[in-house]
Amino acid sequence: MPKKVPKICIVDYGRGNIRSVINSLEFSTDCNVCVSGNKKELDSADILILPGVGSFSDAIGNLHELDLFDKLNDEVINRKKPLMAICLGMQLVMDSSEEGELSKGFGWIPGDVRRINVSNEYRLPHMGWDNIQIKKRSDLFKGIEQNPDFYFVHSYHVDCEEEYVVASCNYGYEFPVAIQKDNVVAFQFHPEKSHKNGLRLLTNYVDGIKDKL
Amino acid sequence: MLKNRLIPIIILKDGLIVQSFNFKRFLPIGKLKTAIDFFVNWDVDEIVILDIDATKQDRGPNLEVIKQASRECFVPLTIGGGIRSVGDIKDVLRAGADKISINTYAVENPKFITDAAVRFGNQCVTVSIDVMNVSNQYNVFIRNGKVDTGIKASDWAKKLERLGAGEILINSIERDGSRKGYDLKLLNLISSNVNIPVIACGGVGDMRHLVSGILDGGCQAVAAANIFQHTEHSTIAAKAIMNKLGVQVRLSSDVKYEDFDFDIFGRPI
Repeated sequence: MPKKVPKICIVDYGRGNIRSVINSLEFSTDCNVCVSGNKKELDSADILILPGVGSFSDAIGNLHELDLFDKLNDEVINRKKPLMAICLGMQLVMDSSEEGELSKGFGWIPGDVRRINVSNEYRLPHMGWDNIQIKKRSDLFKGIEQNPDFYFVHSYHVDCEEEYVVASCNYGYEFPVAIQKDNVVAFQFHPEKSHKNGLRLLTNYVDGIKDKL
Repeated sequence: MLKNRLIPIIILKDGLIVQSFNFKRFLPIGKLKTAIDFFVNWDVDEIVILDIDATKQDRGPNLEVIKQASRECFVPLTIGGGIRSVGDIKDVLRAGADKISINTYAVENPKFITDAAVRFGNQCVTVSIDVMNVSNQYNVFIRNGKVDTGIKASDWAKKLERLGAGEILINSIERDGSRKGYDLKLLNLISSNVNIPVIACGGVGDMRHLVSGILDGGCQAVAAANIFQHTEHSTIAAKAIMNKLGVQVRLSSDVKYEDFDFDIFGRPI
């Protein structure tokens, strides 16, 4: 019997480089990719992607305004739906951030978001290609070279317990850039903009889930 | 370690890629899609597309062109030209851009930089500065280099950082198309006055100029337009030269040119 084609829904909350995420998923996987802020669409998706560029507070405010905050909580916590968060999306899955007024995140992975605290010789944002150190064996990085380069652009980073850290990056000091807990995976870098390494990572991620559907 | 970035700038005029000479003469080169296909696989770290007709024709960004360009552009894509509202930025990002570049409109409406940064994050906002030396002072020019604002480039750069710009692309009008190399004094002036990343632009005529933009100009990224349109594997060769001369770069192409020397255009010899 032909396998079901998984449906990926990119959560649309009015922010972010969504087209780039669609383009890369369509190129690197054989999934049906949709973009939506509609609850029914989120319901019927097999995989959710939480993208994001911009500020923490603004994003959380928008998610509440569009009534998506509780919906996503339900999908991830109660229905255990796989979710991949990218960049600001990664920060939103944490407990809280020191950026802005609306500072409470989803709390799916315990930890906080802090401003990158480096001396003047390090420019901010941390922008460009930087190599990561893989801390935990994971099929996510299958077929990708050692210490691979990924594209970053951020001024805040996640701080969490070591048990959740899959990979880290060193920019002045070391911080987590790929984390995982249960059905939630989050990346600080942009796989959709990290050429071969990023496309492979997306393929690996979806392959890992497809087997379980 | 964070790598220094190599960025080809694609200049669009009447829907075609052109080479620009002192912002005055333009030589048509070819189609956008072809260039993107090559550059993405030739080891570039980002791509910038500047639509130089938009401001002059008083129109917004061409979203169809951006959609096509972004389709298989799996490195960050910056779009400049005609962006004058938060709505424009939203449209451009939805069409496939990752960042936007503003120039004239930023000078005329500095508050727009802050509005854009608050809404989309400062990483999304690149401000491009066109500079010319006027009686021993670096002045900011707008409207495709035609209008002297009288503003000192270093003052403007500092102000941009305060307003929320995520990076600065600094371009020398006099060096544009000259092949004389970057204006290193200008690059140093800007990069030493801000703490956000600075992209060097204007005048690369020899791949080694890219190296001095980083090592002598203090920039975090180097951009060029015309020189990358000359030869096969141009940006791979540029990376090989940068790597050889001590600049930390990302090398991801299967083609490496490790055992070659190069002429000034980056052709292997």
